[in-house]
Amino acid sequence: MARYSRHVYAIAYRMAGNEADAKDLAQEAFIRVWRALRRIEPGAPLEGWLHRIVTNLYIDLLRRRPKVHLQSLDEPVATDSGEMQRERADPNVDVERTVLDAALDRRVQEALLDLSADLRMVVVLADVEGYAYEEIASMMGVPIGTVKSRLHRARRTMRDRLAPIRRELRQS
Amino acid sequence: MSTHRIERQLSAYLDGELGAEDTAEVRAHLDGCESCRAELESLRATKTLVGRLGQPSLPGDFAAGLWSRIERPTARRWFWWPRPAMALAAAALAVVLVAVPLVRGHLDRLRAAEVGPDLFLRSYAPAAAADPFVDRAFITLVSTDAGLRLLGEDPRGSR
Repeated sequence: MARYSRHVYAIAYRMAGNEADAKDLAQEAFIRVWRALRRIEPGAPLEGWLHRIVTNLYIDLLRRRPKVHLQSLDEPVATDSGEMQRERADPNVDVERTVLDAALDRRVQEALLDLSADLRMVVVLADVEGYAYEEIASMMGVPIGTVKSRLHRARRTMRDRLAPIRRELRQS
Repeated sequence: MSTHRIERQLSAYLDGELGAEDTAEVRAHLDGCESCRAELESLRATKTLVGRLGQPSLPGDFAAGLWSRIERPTARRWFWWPRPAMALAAAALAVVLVAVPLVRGHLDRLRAAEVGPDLFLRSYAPAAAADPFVDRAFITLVSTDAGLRLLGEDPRGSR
């Protein structure tokens, strides 16, 4: 389970937009996997199947519960021993892959949350997680053509929403 | 390809997800179309920006919370009935599905013997066509016998 939790949680975080809902979603996904595990063959390809449960669950739950609260990853977390900063993955040295600062991260996440759950899932899997269309199609149980058209629609919407940020980045 | 169709292919082109032929076609179009080049660049910038979102770290209490939820009993749903109950229900259904045509077939035989095969067929066969539980083998047998009799042959084989 440890092998998949970070990954499943990362997708959940980008789909839900806040830590509490992401934790809830990711845990619910694991519970469903746990229950279904008793019914699948030992040799079945676990990863693709896990992704399928996760993506469909996220889309279902988020459709029913569209209101989300946004919380930045860089906001301090309240713990028993006072506030502390979240640990972040090391950003790549590559400038293109340098992670956004907290404010920009939040604005891009807001734009993601404006998309419908179907479109958001495709963008998260393709552009955040870097999956190929074929993999996304199999995870979501839709034809490749659907992935292609959803991703294009989602990117055009994101492009319009993110136009001010792109202008700011070009100027700085 | 029309400009509109090329535009719709730009995301897939950007991701290297088009076939060789479509890729060449989009590339050729881009050489001569400034607005599509601008569109492609804006999509590329968007993809790059989204790709720079940070990787959230897993909350420290994730695994503990998960285990406590797994161990919490959940409400039973009808399809989680205990297996013996499900098996019994399935067996009862199978018995009904086999017994109904058998009993019906037996009753049909008695009735055919009573009224004679010709009358039985005339009054019964049209209604039987729509009845899923009718013993079709018996109806076929009776109608074949009736046909042979019409031809002057003995259906039991002795001349």
